[in-house]
Amino acid sequence: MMLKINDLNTYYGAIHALKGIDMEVDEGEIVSLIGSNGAGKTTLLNTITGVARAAKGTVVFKGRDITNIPSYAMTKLKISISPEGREVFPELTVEENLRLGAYIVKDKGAISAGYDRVYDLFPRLKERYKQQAGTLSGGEQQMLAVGRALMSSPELLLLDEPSLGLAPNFVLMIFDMIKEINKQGVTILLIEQNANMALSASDRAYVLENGKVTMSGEAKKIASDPKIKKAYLGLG
Amino acid sequence: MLAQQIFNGLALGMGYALIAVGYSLVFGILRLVNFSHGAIYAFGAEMAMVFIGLNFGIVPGIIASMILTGILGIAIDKIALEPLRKKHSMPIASLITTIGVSNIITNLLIVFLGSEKRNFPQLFNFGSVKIGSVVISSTQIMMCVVSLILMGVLVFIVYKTKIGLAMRASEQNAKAANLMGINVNFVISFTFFLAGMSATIAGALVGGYYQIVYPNMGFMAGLKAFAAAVLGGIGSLPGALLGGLIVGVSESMAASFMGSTYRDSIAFVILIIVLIVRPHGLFGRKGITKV
Ligand SMILES: Nc1ncnc2c1ncn2[C@@H]1O[C@H](COP(=O)(O)OP(=O)(O)OP(=O)(O)O)[C@@H](O)[C@H]1O
Ligand SMILES: [Mg+2]
Repeated sequence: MMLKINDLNTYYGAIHALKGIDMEVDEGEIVSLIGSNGAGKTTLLNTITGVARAAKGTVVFKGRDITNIPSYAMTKLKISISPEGREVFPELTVEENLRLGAYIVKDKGAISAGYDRVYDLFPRLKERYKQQAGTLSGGEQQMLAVGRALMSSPELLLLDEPSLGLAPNFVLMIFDMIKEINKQGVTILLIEQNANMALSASDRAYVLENGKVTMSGEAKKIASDPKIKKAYLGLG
Repeated sequence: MLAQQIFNGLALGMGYALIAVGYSLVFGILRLVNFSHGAIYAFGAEMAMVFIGLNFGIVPGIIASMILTGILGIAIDKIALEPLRKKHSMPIASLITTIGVSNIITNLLIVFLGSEKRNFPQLFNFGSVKIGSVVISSTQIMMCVVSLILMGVLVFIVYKTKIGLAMRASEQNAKAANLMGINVNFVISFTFFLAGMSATIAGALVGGYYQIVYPNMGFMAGLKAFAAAVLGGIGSLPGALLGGLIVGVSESMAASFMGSTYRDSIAFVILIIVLIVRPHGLFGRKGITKV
């Protein structure tokens, strides 16, 4: 078990955003987390990464309790995130953004291997390596956010709505990249509004409603569930 | 006469510029005007004086004070400002805190050292250079040289080193910087340290120039340097340099052509005019909002 979440509870003031989440992610899997707006998906990632505080429950990564560790310690543990809203550094260049992704990496060779890997996955970023990140298109910024997260060679990659606001061809390409990254040996926890794409790309899935997991299991099974079809897949 | 005043003003302006960078560095990363910076500058000058008095020698004394003042900067942030950030308090709370800290530092200096003016040793004395009718003293030359070197070092740190990249990243998006593995609170401490060190160098240079230091020396100098930082575009290092020079030269001109009663207000008159024409200052960036 790579990531194990037990009874996780998070509050924003009086708002009880996560109400006892249990979840597991195995090494090598793509696990997706779907749910409507405000369900608590981002809050879950924020709690894992120390941006929000867990009031109760634990987050265990590779056997180690990492509940409420500071955010800046995540990349050292080989967990990295492409956060909601991309959060690139707008006035820094593409290259500088990627360099920051490898901030904790000391080995020069590993850093240049990181650039190669990212430019290989996203040739568009290579063409624009001197461009300020704030002037990239939304899709390019998304590639940058994912690429930046890869620079620390994570074992677990957290992706918060990587396809949000992208044109259909970009969505396809981002999902192809996610599968490709997974093939390279990176375990992925994927949050998506685009449940269709997410379920077809993942091994397993969790459905989050109102701060609670309401369904979990094999992605295929979830995709064929009548309730899910109706609520999230626009079918039925 | 005019050329002479310009040279006097440039030397003085370098001193303002070195104080102004401290405002700019801290503002860049916290979007906070650190009103205790003038007192930090006075502390740096006074401590240099104290260390020199303890027979450290002039340069080691100044270096010891740079380190101590840098640590003071870190302590101010850790004790008074970081707790406010953790609680997500209003920006105005931090601002008023820095004003309070400023008074505390100044008063402690008065309690322990006395409020009177003390002689500061002349730092450089290898005669003066004469170009036409303009006489430039060795102190003035060295003020310019040392300040420019320090500016160069700061620009190098911010734009060419890894910690500098972390400073710029934290400035643009602290949350994302944390997620990259940057300990943003450490970066902030480092920034306060740099600001304190620069202020000490400014304090020693200006102290050596007038050969005088006193606990309240940071009040006016701090306000004028703040005006210089805003004038140049707060957050910008070249802006702090240019702003400092403009303030220094205009002050020197005002003092000799309009009478010394005007010397302390001219910086603010210029500041107001520049801000009306260019609200973000001379080198200021438009999109300077906290993300
Ligand atoms: N910083 C905050 N302060 C107060 N409430 C918050 C904060 N962030 C999130 N919430 C609340 O917590 C709940 C969960 O929000 P969260 O962002 O986790 O949802 P989400 O599932 O990611 O939604 P979306 O798909 O829209 O991104 C929402 O009701 C939201 O209003
Ligand atoms: Mg979200």
